[in-house]
Amino acid sequence: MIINRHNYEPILLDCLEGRLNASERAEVETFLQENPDILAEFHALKAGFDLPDISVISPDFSFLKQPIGPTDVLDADIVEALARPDDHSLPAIDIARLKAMHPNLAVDIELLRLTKLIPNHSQNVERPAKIWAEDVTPFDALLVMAAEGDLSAGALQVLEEFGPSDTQNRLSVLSATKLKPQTHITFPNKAGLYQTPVVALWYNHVITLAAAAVLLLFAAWFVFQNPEVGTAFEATTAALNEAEPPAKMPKNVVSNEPVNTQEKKQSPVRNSDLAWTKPAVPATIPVQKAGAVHFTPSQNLMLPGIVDMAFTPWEETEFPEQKQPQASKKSLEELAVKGIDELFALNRSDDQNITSALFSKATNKLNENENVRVQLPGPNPERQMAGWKVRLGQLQVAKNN
Amino acid sequence: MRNVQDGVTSYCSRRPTTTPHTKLSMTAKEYNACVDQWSDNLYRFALKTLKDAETAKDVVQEAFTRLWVKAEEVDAAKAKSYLFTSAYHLSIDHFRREKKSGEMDLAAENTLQTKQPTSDLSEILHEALNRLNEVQRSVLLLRDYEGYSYKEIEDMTGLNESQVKVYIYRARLAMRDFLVKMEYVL
Repeated sequence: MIINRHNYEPILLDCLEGRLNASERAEVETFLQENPDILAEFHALKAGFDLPDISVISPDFSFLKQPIGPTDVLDADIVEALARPDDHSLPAIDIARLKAMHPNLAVDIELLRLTKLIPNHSQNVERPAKIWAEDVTPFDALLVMAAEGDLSAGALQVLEEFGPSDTQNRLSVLSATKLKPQTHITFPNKAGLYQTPVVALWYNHVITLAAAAVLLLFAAWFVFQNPEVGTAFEATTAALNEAEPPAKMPKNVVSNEPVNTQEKKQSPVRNSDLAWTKPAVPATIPVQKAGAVHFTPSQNLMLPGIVDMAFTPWEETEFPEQKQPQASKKSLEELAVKGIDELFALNRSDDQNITSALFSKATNKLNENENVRVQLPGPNPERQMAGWKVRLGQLQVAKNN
Repeated sequence: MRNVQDGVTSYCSRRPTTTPHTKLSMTAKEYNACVDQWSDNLYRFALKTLKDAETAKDVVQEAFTRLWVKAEEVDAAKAKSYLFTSAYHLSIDHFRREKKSGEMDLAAENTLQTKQPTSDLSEILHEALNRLNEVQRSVLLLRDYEGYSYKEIEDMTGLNESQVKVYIYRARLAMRDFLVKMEYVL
């Protein structure tokens, strides 16, 4: 019903005759308060009727009401609508009817709905006493829900409409308690948390071993390709043997003056004061060069008395002439002849040539420690040496058989 | 404090090696991305929960170590949840140990008493946070710092959803009361 200055007369009449319901009467009352001139007209009209004066405020009998709980007043439609778990907006509720009830009713409804403890049609509703203990009032709980964003738009509307006047203020305080991360705090040892894959560890080991093998192979190749490296020590030895004494001689080397024993005690002779003497360097030094191939031939077949023979594939180094022990030379010659004879017996001409050359060198170049330097014939001495060793082994086997 | 790096190495050595027929749920690259992405968040959570930097570092270290040990079982998308779950339980275990020795409460109380008044709301809030009990503090941090839902917090902490709500609501009201009492806001 819409009442205005154009249609108020029939409505006022209906009002005076009692044909309006409560809401329509309330609307009329509001209209009259906003229009004093029509209110005077209404009083004049009313004077002709013997009706009670509706402007008289009736006594408040609300104290006669009994305290109501949420389950006492919820009708089935409201409960069913509120209990929909997926419905995020409060359904259309008769606000006027809710308003006529206790304001806390809306709070209770919302609490029950949010805690999902409303069974069908409000029967046997269990109040969530455990959650809403005595230290948390339902209204506070609703406020926290609103601050947490747990309330639907409709529920928030109910809260704001029925709540105390400072509801907004309380809400803003609760919202202010939300923490924000202090981003200036960072973990100090992040690098210590990183991990490398297990496969990558194994891969790293392989790479390291491969690199080491390549370096070793390169070093061996370099030594074999540069025989001068091996003679450097011998050149140094020769230079030392031919060196002259230093030009500046130290003091107190030779002195005919009487020696003051007291002074001597106070200043003992230092090593630097001793006369310089030529260092005694042996004429030949047995050298085990890097890369030298150590080979111990079969003692039964070839050289039983010589254990360690160092064969170098590079150019032979000339040692100074030295008197060789005749017994060793003789025994070697005998052994060489014996070995060559055995090879001849097997008709292995190539082996004979190699062995002959080897033994002729061995008998001529034997040094004090019986280490021998020989040069094997052929373009690839290393390969021939290997083949020679294999063949010697074969000969040994053939002989044993 | 134990050597953190040694701890990681020992755990890594226990990690089962992969076979050609099994695929890692989380690769080392994904794990390292988790370190970049979540270590700071986890450290903040642990630091605010435990109120001790060294212990917080240990908790972060241990949480990530557990993640790496379980890398074959944890999906990369669930790594954050796994990390915070580990950190929460490690923190609670730490509280239980410390409560037995009776050291923590005294230390916290001393810390609170020596705090100077401040006008920074964030500082006030974190001071209020320090006054909550450990479970309320952990749950509220998970909610506010990381934005986890009640259900996610329920999964992470082992509490049920109603308990999570109770802890959060009571924590929120306690913080509000602290703010109002200190007359910082109202």
